[in-house]
Amino acid sequence: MTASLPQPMRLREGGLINRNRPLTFTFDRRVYQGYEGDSLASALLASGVKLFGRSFKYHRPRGVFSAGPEEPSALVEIDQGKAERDPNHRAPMVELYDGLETFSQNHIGPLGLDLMEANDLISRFLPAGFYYKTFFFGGLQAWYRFYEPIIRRAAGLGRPPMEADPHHYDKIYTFADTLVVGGGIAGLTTALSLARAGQSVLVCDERDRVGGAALWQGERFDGQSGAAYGDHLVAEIEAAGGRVLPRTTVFGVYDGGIYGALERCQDHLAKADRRVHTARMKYHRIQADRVVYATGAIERSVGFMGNDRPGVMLASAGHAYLGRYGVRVGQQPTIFTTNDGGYAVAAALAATGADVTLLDARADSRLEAEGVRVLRGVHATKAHGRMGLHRVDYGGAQSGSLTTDALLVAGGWNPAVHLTSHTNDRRQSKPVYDADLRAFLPPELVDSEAASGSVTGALGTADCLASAAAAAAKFGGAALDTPAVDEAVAVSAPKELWAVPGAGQAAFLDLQNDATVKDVGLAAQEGFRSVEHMKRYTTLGMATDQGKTSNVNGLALLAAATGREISAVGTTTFRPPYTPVPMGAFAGHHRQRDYEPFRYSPVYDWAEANGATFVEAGLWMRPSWYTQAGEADWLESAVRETRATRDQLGITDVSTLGKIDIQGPDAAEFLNRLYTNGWKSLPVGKARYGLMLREDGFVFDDGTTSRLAECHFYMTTTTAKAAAVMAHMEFVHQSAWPDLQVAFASVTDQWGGLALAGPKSRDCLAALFPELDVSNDGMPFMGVIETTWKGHTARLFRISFSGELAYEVAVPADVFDAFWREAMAAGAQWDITPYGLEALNILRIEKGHVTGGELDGRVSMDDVGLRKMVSTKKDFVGKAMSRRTAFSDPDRVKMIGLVATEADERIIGGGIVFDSKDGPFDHTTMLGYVTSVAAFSPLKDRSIALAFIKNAADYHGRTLYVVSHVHNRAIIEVTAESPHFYDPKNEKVTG
Amino acid sequence: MLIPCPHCGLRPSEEFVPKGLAEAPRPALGGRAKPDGPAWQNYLHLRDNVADHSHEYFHHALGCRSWIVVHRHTLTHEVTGATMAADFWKADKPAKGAKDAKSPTAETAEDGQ
Ligand SMILES: [Zn+2]
Repeated sequence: MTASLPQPMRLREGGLINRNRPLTFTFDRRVYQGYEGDSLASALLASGVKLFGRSFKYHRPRGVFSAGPEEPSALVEIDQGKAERDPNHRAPMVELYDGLETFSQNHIGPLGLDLMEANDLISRFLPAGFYYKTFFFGGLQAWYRFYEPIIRRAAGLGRPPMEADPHHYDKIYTFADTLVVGGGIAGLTTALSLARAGQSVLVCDERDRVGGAALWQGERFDGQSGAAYGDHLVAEIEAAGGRVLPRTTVFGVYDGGIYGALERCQDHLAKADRRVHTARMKYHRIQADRVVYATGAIERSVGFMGNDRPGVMLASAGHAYLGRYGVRVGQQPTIFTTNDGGYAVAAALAATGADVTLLDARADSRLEAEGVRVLRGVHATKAHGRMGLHRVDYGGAQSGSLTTDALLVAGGWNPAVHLTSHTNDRRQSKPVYDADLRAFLPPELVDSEAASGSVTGALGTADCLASAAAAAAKFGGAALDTPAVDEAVAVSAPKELWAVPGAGQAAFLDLQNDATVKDVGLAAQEGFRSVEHMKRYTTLGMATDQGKTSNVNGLALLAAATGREISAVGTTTFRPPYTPVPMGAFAGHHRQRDYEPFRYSPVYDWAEANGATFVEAGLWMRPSWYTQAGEADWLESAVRETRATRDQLGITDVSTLGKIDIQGPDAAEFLNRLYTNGWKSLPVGKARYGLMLREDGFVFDDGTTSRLAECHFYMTTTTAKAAAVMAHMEFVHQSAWPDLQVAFASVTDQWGGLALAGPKSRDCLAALFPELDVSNDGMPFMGVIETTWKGHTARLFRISFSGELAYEVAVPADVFDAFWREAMAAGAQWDITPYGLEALNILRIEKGHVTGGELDGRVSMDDVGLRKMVSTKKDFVGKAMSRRTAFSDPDRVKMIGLVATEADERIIGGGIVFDSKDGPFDHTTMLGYVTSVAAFSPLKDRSIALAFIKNAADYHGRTLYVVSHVHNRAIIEVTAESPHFYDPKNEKVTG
Repeated sequence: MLIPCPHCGLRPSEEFVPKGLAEAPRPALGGRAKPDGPAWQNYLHLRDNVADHSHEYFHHALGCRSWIVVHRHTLTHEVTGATMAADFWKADKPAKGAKDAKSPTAETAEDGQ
């Protein structure tokens, strides 16, 4: 164990830390010690560290400003290394653990000697809007080459990790009758009352322990400390069936009683104690009927020169470091207050033996604090000490200068109204300015909302407890005994003082964005009257803290500068998240391989074991080709598979096709309305090719549907459109024709399917089903037979996608693998060859069959040569709109086939078609475009393609040119012909 | 956002797929409505996009597979109810607010059927 390291600012007693358990950590590689229960900020302050980082714009040295989530300045990076690096942690929110490694941010070179600090020296030349105004000099080139790289280096908050986040994140649905946001004494009191009334109550508190300000303010409840009383309330809530989640920030309020919350599960643990394969954070999607906002209040500062110097902080922060962590932030501290609250901090510090001076901006205050020198009617005018405060000047009723090592500013309290305003659009109201309290209060709450504690504007402990009881009463809570509160701190509304007289540049409002009192004045002077415009122009209230400590001062000064009431200026819009949420928490487990589910065919394992290379087709993994020994590339494999199918026998897996089972007395009528062609005359035991249009007249999908019985059909769709076709059928049935007696269900996963294709496919089918007559008479083209295979239903279809004599056989998915293996055995005597999507593609392009490449949502029936599919005797989806005049425009592109002139040239997919090789290759001369390419067609002994061009019929037999603008305008000469390259008379499939 | 599916009850919006406003019924099958006439244009393309109570198709895709019409206020996101699409265009459809004048009969009459 390391020898104990000095903690000069730590008191010998007091605070909620465990002095028996020291923890060792580093900051900028230097080793420090703190105690169990410390935050990173409290431990560094205890060790005498004042300088925590550099500011965003001027690179001014900065310390810690607060003791909570509102921290604008003390942002640190935790860990280093490309994946582990985690920037922008607020030091007061980082719980200390043994071995914690932290680093300061925003500087080049050591923290104490930042090379970018020159920005501060020229800060009067870098006012609000500087970026918008200055970089016009030199034009865009100068921006890209010179300004932007420098600004990118100088600006920004921290450095992002450069590799994938190694942690786990979970998403969880959480339910409650009532959600209580905030585990201070008020929130816990309301929660207990509701839990006792039988409600399921969930309390979320963003800190590591409940109790809120009572953890450090020093008041006692029935004689117990705030910490003890908070623990007591938690135990009572849990005994009544409620739940309390610490380290859980409710960051957003959404419609329908939905709340987003982030639970930090692991970050506070030493590395060795973190559980592997367990979530670092959980994103709770909370569903609650009612909500209690017990979000507390955030103290604000006052604008004066140097109010950002390390050592200047909020009075509540100084109080919290003392009361909660036993850290005295200064031996000779000065309090600058605009309200009674500053006296409690002063008295608490004086009680530790510190030499305390209090500057009260109010001349008429009569309060005293024991052991504290009080100057009335004075305000701080300037803080001195670049690397750490050492002196403060004051003015007003009297002026002078004080030696001091900490300046605690109590400028009044801003209720944390953020969450109450997230659904402003729903409630049609915004936070309301209370001129007496000098604070914005929550907007009018709806029936399902209540507020408890200081978020209501309540100042003292007794008022907060009263508001807690009122919130509970609104939701029917049980009556509770009110605890006796003693040693409560004095409270009052503040004197109105947003910035001291004469404050300007270097009098900061937003410490995170370096926005100053002068910037707000400049914005007003340049005509930015809207608070939203002022925010964007000055950047006040942006970035990770969203102006929690600065917004209200900024808008109050804008009101003064534009001669309006604060209530007329209003707040900027508060949006989720309240505090930053890692993207990983929203993604949860939906990342990389688990981004979406994969779907596997029943013969995936067989295909993998037999050399298949897979391709993602939607969610499906489909074999693309099967590699055999000695094959150099995918094309060699695909061409072998194509030839084997054309010459002998091929087999392919068609399980991924969408399959829909349709039944009912109106099933045929329903199909009649869905498809362009007629279905009522289809005999039982026959299949038919069908074409569906969208309601707007464009081609939607195609496939075959078979009639298994009078009122029973079996539809197939393309793999890609399976889900869309199903939803479309449900829509037209339910929204337009609910009276049709038809029911249908997707059975895609219930059936496995294979296609046997090639001259020997009939022989192979006969070998598989020896008892059946599968001759051309027994099973003609488009014939369907339902039979059994080893006791399982088997459906045989004589349909062809390849252009060969072909059959498809479907069996239940759970026996499909066995059936496939049997088909492979039965076909062995004809060298049965499994083929993948690439060979399937060559086969269908040779045959001129369309797929998604052609049916891209922009083509009509005519464009793909399927006008013959239209029945004129009936109406169907899309019929009316397919008669739009634009569909018969002769300039419409129509499908055509292309054959490369040179045997060794490949047509390029997506290439543009022209009839001259002289150019210009642009829209004025363009004929059309290529949709599908077979890199090599065994039939043509070269590359072929399907394309869409204008006046297609006129170009048959002519030479055209395919140009690819993304391949250096490569020009490929082609000959146009009918897209039905192979067996145009369909003799193979019908013979 | 929660959607009150008439079949399943109150369910999270993640289970639903929206399709758009339900402002006009599908023109009758076998009718003579012209492709550029108001019946088809209203059904397919023209939307009032009101800042008021609206009716939108949602598909309970990850639930009961019903197509429903959700009654939602576009400014406040307040959801006041939902109807099965199968019932929505029937003559005795529920009260749909003042803005609803497009009954199927009005539509076809307008198009000269
Ligand atoms: Zn449902």
